[in-house]
Amino acid sequence: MTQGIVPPYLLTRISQMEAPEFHDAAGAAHRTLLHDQPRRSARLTFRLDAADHLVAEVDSGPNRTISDAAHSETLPGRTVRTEGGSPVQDVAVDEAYDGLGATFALYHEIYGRDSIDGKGLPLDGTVHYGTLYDNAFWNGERMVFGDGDGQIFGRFTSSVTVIGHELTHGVTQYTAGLAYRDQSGALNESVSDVFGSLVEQYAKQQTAATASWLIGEGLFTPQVKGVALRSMKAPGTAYDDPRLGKDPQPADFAHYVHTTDDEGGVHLNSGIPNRAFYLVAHRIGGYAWEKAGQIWYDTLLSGLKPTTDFAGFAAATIVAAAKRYGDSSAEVAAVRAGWTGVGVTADGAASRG
Amino acid sequence: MAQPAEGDERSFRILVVRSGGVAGITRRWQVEPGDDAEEWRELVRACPWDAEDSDTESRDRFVWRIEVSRSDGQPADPVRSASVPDAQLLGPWRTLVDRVQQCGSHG
Repeated sequence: MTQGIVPPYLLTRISQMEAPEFHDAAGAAHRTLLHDQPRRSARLTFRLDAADHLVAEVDSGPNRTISDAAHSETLPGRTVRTEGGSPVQDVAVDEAYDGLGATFALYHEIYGRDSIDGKGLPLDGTVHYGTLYDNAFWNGERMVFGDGDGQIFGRFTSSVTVIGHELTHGVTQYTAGLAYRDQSGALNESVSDVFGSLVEQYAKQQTAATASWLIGEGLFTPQVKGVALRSMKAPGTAYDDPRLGKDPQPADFAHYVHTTDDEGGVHLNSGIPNRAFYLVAHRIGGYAWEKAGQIWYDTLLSGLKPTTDFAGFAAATIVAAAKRYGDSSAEVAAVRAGWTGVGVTADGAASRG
Repeated sequence: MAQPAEGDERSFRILVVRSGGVAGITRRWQVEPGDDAEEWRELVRACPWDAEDSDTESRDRFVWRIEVSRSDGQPADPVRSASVPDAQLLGPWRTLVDRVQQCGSHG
C-alpha cells in the first residue's frame, strides 16, 4: 500500500477519471475539490482488491499552515510553509509541520476523526514565538511554540508528544470540553498527554511494552538532569535537577496535590490518570492506540460533563470499554485494574457490572 | 496615596510565581528592595491590581502570581496580590515582572 498527500492538480485529474474502478476515487476527489480551500490536500491510498484491480481511494488530508513569529509575541506571524509545500531551511518549521501531520494521521487513520473538530479544521501553528520563550501552548485556535531559553529548554517542537499534546487540547475543546481547573483540568491535561504519547507510539510503531511513555523527551538541554517533562509510566521520575527540583507529579490519588497555582495543579495531578492509562494499555498489551486509546477516545465523545472528576471519568472509561468490547471482556477488566492501580474508585452505578 | 507596604516603608518584598506551561514547572523570583524602594513602589502602583483577568480559551499558558508583602511576611496594606494570565501580562505588569526576574533571586 502506498500513501501520499495529493496536491490539488492531481485531485483534479482523479476527479475526472471515468473508468468504473475509479468511480469512488473520482467522486471523493470531486467532493474534496468542491468543499475545500484551493490549497487543501487529500490522502491518496492505492490497493489491490480481491480481483487484483488497482483501487485508488481519496480521503481527507491535513491542511497545515506554519507561521513564524520571528521572536515577537504577535500572532500568527508570517506564513512560512503551507500544506504540500516543501521543507524549508528551518528545523522548527519542519518539525511543527511533520508533528501536526503525525497527529492528524493518528486521529484520522485510527479513530476516523477529520482534524481537531472532526470537520477538517485547518491546523495552524506558530513557531519562534517570543524571546527565549520556555513554552508551547494552544490558544483556542492555534498551536504556538517557543524556542526555549537554551539553558534549560531547547525548542518545543523537538518532541512530537508535545505537538500531539497541544493539538489534543483542541480535540478536547471540541468534544468533552473538560474545564481547565482542578480534577477536570488534570483530566484535560492527561488526555493531551495520552494522545500526545500515542501520536509518537503510532509514528514509531511501538507497543505498550516498548514505548517510552515519556512526554517531551529531549526538550531539556544536556545541562538538565532529566529525560523528559513527565513520565506516564512512572510519574514523579522524569527529572531531578538542582535548579528545577524533582518532578512533582503524583502517581496515585493518595498523593493528589492541592494547590492554587497552575489552575489547581492541572499539570501535576495529570500524573494520576496518566498512569491509569499506562496500566490499562500495559495490561491489554500490543499497540496502545488500538484498544486503550480507542476506549479513551470513545470516552471523550461520550457526553462527559465539563466538570467531570477522576471518579466520573473512570466510570465513563469502564462504560466505553463495556460498550465496545463487552461487559465481561478482558478490556473492561484492564480498565478497572488501571484505575484501582492509582487509587481511583469509579463512580456510582455506571461502573457496576 | 496607597502604599504597597504599610509600616516600614523600605521593608517589603515582591514575589513572582510562574506556574503552568506545558512543562508544569513552577518558578519563583523575589526581590527585597533597598535604596531603590521608591522606584519599585512606582512600578507596583502602576499595575492594575484590581482588574479581573481571565483567559478561558488557552491551554498550557503560564499563569503569573504576583504578590507584595511586608518583609516580616504579613500582607501589604492594601493587599497586593494578583493572578495574571500570560496573555494579559502586558504594560505595567510586564515591566514589573521583567524587573523582578532581572533583579530578583530565583527560587
